[in-house]
Amino acid sequence: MGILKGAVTRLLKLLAVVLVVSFLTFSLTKLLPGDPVVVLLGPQYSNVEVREAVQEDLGLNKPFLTQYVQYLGNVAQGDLGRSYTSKFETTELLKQKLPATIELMLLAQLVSLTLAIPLALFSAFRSNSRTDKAITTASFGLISIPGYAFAVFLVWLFALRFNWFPAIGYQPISEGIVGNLRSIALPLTVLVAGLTAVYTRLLRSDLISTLQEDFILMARSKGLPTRYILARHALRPSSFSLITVFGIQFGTLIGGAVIIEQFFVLPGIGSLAIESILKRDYLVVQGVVLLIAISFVLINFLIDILYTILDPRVRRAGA
Amino acid sequence: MTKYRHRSWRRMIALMTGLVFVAAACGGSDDSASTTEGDEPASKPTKGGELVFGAESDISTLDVGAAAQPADKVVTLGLYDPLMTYEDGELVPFLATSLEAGDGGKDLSTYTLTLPTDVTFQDGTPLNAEAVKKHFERLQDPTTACPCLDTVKAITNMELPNGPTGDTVIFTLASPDVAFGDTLAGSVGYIESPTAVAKYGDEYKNNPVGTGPFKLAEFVPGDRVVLVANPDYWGKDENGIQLPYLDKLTVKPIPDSGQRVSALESGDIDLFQTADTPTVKAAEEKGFSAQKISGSSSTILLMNNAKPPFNDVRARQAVAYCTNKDLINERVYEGIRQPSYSGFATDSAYYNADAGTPRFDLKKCQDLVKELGGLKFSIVCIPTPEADSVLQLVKQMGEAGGMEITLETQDQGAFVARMFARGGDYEGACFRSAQFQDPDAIRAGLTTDDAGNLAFYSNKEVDKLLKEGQATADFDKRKAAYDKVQEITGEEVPLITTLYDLFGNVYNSEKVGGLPPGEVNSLGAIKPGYIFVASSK
Repeated sequence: MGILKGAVTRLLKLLAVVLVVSFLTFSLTKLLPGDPVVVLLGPQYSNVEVREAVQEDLGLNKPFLTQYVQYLGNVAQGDLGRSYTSKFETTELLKQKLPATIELMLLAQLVSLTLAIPLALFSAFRSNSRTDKAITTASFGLISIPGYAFAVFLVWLFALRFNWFPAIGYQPISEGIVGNLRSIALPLTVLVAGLTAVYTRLLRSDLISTLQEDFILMARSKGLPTRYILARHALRPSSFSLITVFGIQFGTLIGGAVIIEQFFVLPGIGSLAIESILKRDYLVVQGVVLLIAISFVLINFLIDILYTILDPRVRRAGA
Repeated sequence: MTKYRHRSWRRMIALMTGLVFVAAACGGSDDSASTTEGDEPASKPTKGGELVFGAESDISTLDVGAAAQPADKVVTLGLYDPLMTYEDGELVPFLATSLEAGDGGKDLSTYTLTLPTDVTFQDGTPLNAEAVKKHFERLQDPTTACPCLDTVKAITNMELPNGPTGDTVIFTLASPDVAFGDTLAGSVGYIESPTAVAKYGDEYKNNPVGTGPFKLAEFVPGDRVVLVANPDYWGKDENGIQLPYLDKLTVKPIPDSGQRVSALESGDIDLFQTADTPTVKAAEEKGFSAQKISGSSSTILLMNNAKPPFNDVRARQAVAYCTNKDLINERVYEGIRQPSYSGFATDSAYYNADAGTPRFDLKKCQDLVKELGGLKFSIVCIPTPEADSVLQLVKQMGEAGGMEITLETQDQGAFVARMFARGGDYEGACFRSAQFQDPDAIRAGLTTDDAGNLAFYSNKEVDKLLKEGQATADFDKRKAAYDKVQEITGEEVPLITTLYDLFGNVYNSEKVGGLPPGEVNSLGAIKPGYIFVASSK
């Protein structure tokens, strides 16, 4: 019952967050200097009569609040509006761009965790050993390298020298899984490198302190196998910071995706956002931000639930 | 008969990526304003095959009338055919069969356009007088939001003497305009299917139907435009081979210039376009071929002529004397570009080499600054590496002359709006002038109160001369008018042209057999119908 009640309260809070985000985005795009009409009209923009005709046509001449309320009404019905410049439906654009971004983000998170957890376990268990130092140094190095620089290096090595992977472009999964994986291999590597490093360092330090707890000593004295202790006793209590950061990293990934997607010419949400911002294509910008906000909030909502599952104390406190 | 044969024309004001630009310019150009150099097609064109083209920016429009960026141009020149075009610097009919000014060529406010009778749009709609009329009416509607609005509004009447399904349109213009044919050589002259416009309405933009050599197969904004050969295309090359040569052309926007070279190297693309000189050089060093296109367009420094400090001609002259264009060329463009002292290309018949435009002279600059009691101003531009390097140099040079210069950057959306709103809230700004053939192109940038006059320059005599140049087809008279304009602007320096742009179409010659020459009225774009694959070894 407690979990359910908590979930409902959280969901309501999330709804509020989404409303606030939508309002802020709506206001911010209006506050930005610039006007989508200029992109359409070029030098004709200074012709007030023409400018007003186009603004009216696009519904940009109405009072701010009227525009916002109308927008919200449309959003509630799943209509995010049409791009001012390309005339594509925003939902259509998002649908076109989502697969690449989602695939990249999910795979990046999944691969990073798969790599980071064993590395951290090993590193923490054998802390201060040579391997631990090597892992720590490598993580530190990877965190320090800017993604963009790493991307340039990867392209040089794997696309130009060895010609294993394409330097640009994205092949949808529908056109073949191998081609698809090849096309995202390099951008994925850039993202995974950074993430794995963060996760490994984080989990390692938490594990080290957990491993000094009495209950670990107890488990050892009972003669339980090391592997069992690490996986069953140490990992769970050490994973809270990891899970928090894991959720937050989705947000960071979206930010990082802007650069990575532009660089590797991936048709994703990041490149859609940047293009639309430059063109002051407000409805598309709002659509993208809304989608990101909702996903971010939902992911973190799921993570909150995960806490309660992982840690009985949270559950009890909630109840 | 003023059959569009001699001088050239074209005056669409270009709005581009990267920097922002308008056809302002202290001179105009006409004629052979654009040159293409580089590797000419060595092999004979062959039919078939497919290529991938790396564009500099996202394709922002597939509609007629609006294409201005080179990326848009390449795609739209595939989908549509301009009514007129330039061949070796000469304006000639392309989709049209003829264009003649009224009264045996003397009346420049009436033009008779004749169309071929056997051309259909890609959806089967026949090309006829009615289609042309509807095209211009659509562009004249403010809600179409065509940047060409002023240009098409000059058409006051369209008469169809042979009826809607006939082959003739008689245009009446508000005032005599020798550059009307030039207008039709640009995206204003691309004709779209009226059936498709009626069918798709607002969404026509994404479902374009023209008469061009390629049909649109797929358009994913930000990712790709796929063009496939139009099997019913009317055009043939000189050997009678039906165009286009290619079966398929995929255009992929690749915003990062370094990645464009990498993609060419890795074989992900076969050719790409660029306005970035170092990229052309880098690609050539890696063994790729490059077609280089330059003309009248150049990066310019706009000064607000209506507001202190640049309402004082001495201040504008001072900046011009302090600007060492050779040094900019050397430091920023590896010495490949050509310094510009005119709005016209140097090979234009209207280029006035003796216009007296200020050349670098530090002493004169310093004297003027002293006379003014100092000179303090700001320059605003969008934050690109190129603009940044050029403006840093301009700042250093100005400071050597005793000026105080502040550099300001603003993102593209805000900057463009600020400039085009013509609110006058700037002192100095970066911009780019247009690539054009007909000298009338400079009119908008220099005419008092014109929407394209971003420098707020005003000189009654210049206004009159530009009007004269527009209203006559007589070369000598036009030449005299534009020579004088260049002399006046050389003295009054409404703006400063820095270096002529250099556009490159870089290609892998193992895959690409040849490219057509660059469009003289566009920034490095080529007609994709004439691109062909390298013959297999």
